[in-house]
Amino acid sequence: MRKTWPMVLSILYASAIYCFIFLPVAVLVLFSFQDGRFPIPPLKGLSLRWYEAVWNDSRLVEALVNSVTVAVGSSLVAVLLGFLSAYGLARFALPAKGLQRALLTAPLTVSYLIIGMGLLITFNTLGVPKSLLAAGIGHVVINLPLCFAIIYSQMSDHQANIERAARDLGAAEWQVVTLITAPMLWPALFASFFLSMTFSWDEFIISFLLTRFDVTLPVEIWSLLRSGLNPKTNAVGSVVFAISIVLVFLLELVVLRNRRRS
Amino acid sequence: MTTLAVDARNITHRYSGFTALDNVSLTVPTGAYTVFLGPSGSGKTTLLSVIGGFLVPQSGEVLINGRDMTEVAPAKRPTTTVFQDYALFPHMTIGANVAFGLRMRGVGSAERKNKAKRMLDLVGLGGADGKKPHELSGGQRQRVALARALAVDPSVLLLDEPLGALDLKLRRQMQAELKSIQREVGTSFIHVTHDQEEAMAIGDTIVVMNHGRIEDSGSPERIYLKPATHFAAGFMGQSSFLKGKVRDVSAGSVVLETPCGAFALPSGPAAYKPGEAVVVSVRPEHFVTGEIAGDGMIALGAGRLRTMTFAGTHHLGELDHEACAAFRPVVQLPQSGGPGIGDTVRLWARVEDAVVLKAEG
Repeated sequence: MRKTWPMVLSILYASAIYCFIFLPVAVLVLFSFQDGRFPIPPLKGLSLRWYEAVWNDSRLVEALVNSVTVAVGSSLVAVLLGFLSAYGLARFALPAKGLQRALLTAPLTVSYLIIGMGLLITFNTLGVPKSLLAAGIGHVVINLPLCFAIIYSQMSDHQANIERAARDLGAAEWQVVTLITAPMLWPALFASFFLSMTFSWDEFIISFLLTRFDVTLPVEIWSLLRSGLNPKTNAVGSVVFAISIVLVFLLELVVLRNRRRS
Repeated sequence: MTTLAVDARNITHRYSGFTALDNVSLTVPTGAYTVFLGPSGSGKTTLLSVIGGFLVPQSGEVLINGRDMTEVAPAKRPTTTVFQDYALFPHMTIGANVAFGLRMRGVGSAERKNKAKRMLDLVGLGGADGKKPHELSGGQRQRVALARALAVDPSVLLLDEPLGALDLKLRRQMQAELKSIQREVGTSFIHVTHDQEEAMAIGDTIVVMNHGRIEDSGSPERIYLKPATHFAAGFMGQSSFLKGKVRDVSAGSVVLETPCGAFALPSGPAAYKPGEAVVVSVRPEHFVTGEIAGDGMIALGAGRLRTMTFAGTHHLGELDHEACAAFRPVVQLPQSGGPGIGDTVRLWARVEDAVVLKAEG
């Protein structure tokens, strides 16, 4: 049993790390059940009244619906555009291929604040009003590079040969894409869709800059926070967290299943 | 006039700095099993791609069933390809894979299913139509790829090293099956391989290729017994080459000057000039050993037996020749009771078995 001490130390160290990462979230969730007016210790008892309050707050529910709409819509567009650009770059001889690939992935390195400001100025000049659509476009801008990178990485030469076989058997180009390429890339498409959803779902800064009357949930939470802390903000924060967890879980499920098969 | 399945005329194709096909012309008769044989880089796969429509050659034309197909897309050609990596559709069932070509041709669902079943029966995979490709072994996937390509009734089936990924035993078995399936469906098969045993076992016609050119083409027996070039003799089976020069030319025969002495051999179809460098090619089983000079035999000197390899039905011995260090005869020796390592063996060959060829490189 000479190794007991290092073992104990490792366990302590790992626990400390996980505490550091998850304690804030745990506290947030815990005090969303607070049976009292302040989300601070002591915990006076457990209650679901703040969740009820969230459910009865029409502005919050509306913002939640808005967020889901923007997340689903922008993710679908990002996956579609990402897939098409990946297909084009992987399968055809294009001029300045390396440069085009770099340009497609470049927005990954730009901060959301810069992208949001850039879009705000552009939309102002073009006369596009602040709206959920504008925020959705912003989310496509940040998620397209991600979708492209994920899908492009999954397109192999072996698949190119499978597409060749389909053409050889008489498939037209659109049939190759819809019947062969997209179904073969299904796991990558699914993964990039859920990852985009996750990022769009809790994205704040672009939505904050580009929406006005109809806002997304993170923006609504921010305006709630301005009027002070209260267990309702914890409750809605917990809801946001729970939905993110579900999205990440779905993503893992797809990726893991795919890995096991290959 | 017999119809030609494929008539390729003066095909040339260069990749950057590398000539894959150098003015190749070739005809493939309808309903035969043709094998393109050559080492990697010989242009055999490029030629198959040109016939299949995956590559438009820089010059030359391809006629399939008498119609110009040089620039026609693969989908519009009466050819289908069995790919080396099978290229099955991983997300579809075996049945859907085999029926894919018919689906693209607008054939109804019930009819497609029937045809797919018949095709799977043909390749010995009846009942597998509900499975997915990843549930099958390599040999089974190979059969599915074959059934899928045959389901659309192509007039020419192209097989790109189809047995390359299989183990030896399965290869030999699949060779026999491929040939019997070809007999049954009557489709013209063109099969690319670098395995000369496979080519001999399976081909009605073998086309031997090297450096983007056709070295020889004909029946396996003809190419083995009377190869047209030095390369063809060395690539199709084993052969020993004795270098020499032409001393004299007469009708139908040449007199050669070799380190083993001068002798006359039939000259075959090629024309020779006095002084030209040639080689005499002798197969291991065509060497006659011992002191048995006689009519119709040429003396090839003697050599000391250096190594012996046991090949089951016989031994293969490699000799150090006494008169010519560059001549390394590989001789078939008896299974038992023959000479041993270090023994000196006198070599002879029948005039009709030794082949004179223009020397290469």
